[in-house]
Amino acid sequence: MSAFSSAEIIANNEDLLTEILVCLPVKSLLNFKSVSKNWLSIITSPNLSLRLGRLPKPITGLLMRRNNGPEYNFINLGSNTSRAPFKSLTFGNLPSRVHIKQSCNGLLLCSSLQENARRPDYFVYNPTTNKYTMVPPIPNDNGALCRDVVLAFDPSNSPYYKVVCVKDCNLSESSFQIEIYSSQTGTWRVCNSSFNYPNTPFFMEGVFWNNAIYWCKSWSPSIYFDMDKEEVREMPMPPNINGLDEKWSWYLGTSRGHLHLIEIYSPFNTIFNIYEMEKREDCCRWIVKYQVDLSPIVTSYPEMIKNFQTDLHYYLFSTLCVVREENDEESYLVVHLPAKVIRYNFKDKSFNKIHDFAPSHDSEHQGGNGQVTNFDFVGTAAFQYIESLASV
Amino acid sequence: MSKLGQAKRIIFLKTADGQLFEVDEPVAMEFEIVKSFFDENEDAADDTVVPLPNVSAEPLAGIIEFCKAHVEFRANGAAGKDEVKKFNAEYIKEKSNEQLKELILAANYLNIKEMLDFLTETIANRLKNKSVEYVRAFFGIENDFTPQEEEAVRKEYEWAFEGVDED
Repeated sequence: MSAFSSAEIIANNEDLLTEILVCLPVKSLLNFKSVSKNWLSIITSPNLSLRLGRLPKPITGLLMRRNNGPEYNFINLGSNTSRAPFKSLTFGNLPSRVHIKQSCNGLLLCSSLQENARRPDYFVYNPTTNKYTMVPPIPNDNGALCRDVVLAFDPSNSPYYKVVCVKDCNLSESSFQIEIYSSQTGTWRVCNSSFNYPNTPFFMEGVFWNNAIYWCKSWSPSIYFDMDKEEVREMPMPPNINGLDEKWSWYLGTSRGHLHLIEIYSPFNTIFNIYEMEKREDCCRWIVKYQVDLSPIVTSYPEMIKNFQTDLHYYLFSTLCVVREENDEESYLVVHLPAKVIRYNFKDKSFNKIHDFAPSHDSEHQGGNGQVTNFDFVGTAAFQYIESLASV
Repeated sequence: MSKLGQAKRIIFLKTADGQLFEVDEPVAMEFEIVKSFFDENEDAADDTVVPLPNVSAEPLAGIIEFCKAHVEFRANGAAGKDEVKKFNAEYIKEKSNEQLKELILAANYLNIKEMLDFLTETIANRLKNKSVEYVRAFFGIENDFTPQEEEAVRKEYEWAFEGVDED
């Protein structure tokens, strides 16, 4: 047909090559950067990362800090055995430990408090490419209490990210001010309006979804910050049928573009709903997506049972992640039991162990003897590791 | 457009190597390039031969086979079902890398979205987890890095080279 082989024609057709490359796992893309100079430039181009950002990426694994130490456990969720992106985090010559604060669509927001510093330094880190950048401190810092710092990154929308900081307003109590950093401009700016929430003592672990940040709380009204309109609103919550005012635990997280909520009011119960946020125009509501009963897991793993009073016991577990798969019939819940992690499949309610935590030295100090102690319980914060080529 | 009304319209396609193909209209209209040819030449005679100067007979025969099956699947409401997956898997099983490359170029030129999506994914599956050397050989790419440059690029992502399949 021509002097060129079909292989060479494909290799020289950047559009066609890009279509093939977006189907490859991120690991292969990083590997193939050394194929040739042309491939290096195509793989590092903003065009490819934008194309990749539009495809929902699976959660490769979860990162959980080990007993408040510097090291992280890696719970593999991928079909292949993936390697942990890191064991512990160190950035450059920073003397202090770096911890993950939040995971958002492939990027991690990390913090590190230096000795004698008033506030921690914040970093945005891509664990796949092992690149990080420091978020500049907020200018004109008046020392007001900082309630939460949240990373807002949606690669399907923009290659840039924002960092949102909620601070106390100096003017009056229970009044708050929001400042936003943009990686596009490299600057912070103050949001026009401050807002009041008298019954809002805490902001913690905000979750970014659909260009808004959601905060869930144990008892006061839950709220969200709409980043399009730059206003704070109360978030409607599912009906509380337990008659208890305060939640025992909750989970708020995203997977494949869905926002999920679990509220557990009583530790004496193994049955709960998983809600999904449905957003239409100007309103949002929670719909029941899955119903979960963990009692078969309790039968298989009786170490979950903790005696409370003579004839009363509660269950030791925490919900780490709701994982949505491309085919919803394969979606599942990741549950942490003492010393192990279980995968619970929504469709057929089957479950299997996917991770054992190595016994910690702390639990030996606790008198060990093979007894399960609270120290085998690693915690509730599991950060999603999603492979990404996003630049920071 | 057909003069005989009920009769099935046949589209004539001529490949780069001079072969004439007779293709049922719904199958030929899967090719965006053929469709726009008739959109732009509304008064084209029914026996017009559409020249395809960038496609040779072998890949075209393969493409017609694929599109014919998929047009039927859609007509039977089977689109997206297991039998489609089964057909696709069978279709690609016997194809060599060389045939696959010919097919994707032809599908790209003819602009057949569904087949192109399927072929890009198939090629990506064959490249996934392979070594850099395998990819170079697959595409006939010459390494234009100096050894120092290549070492520097590789060093940055050393972990990505772990667990690569044998070529």
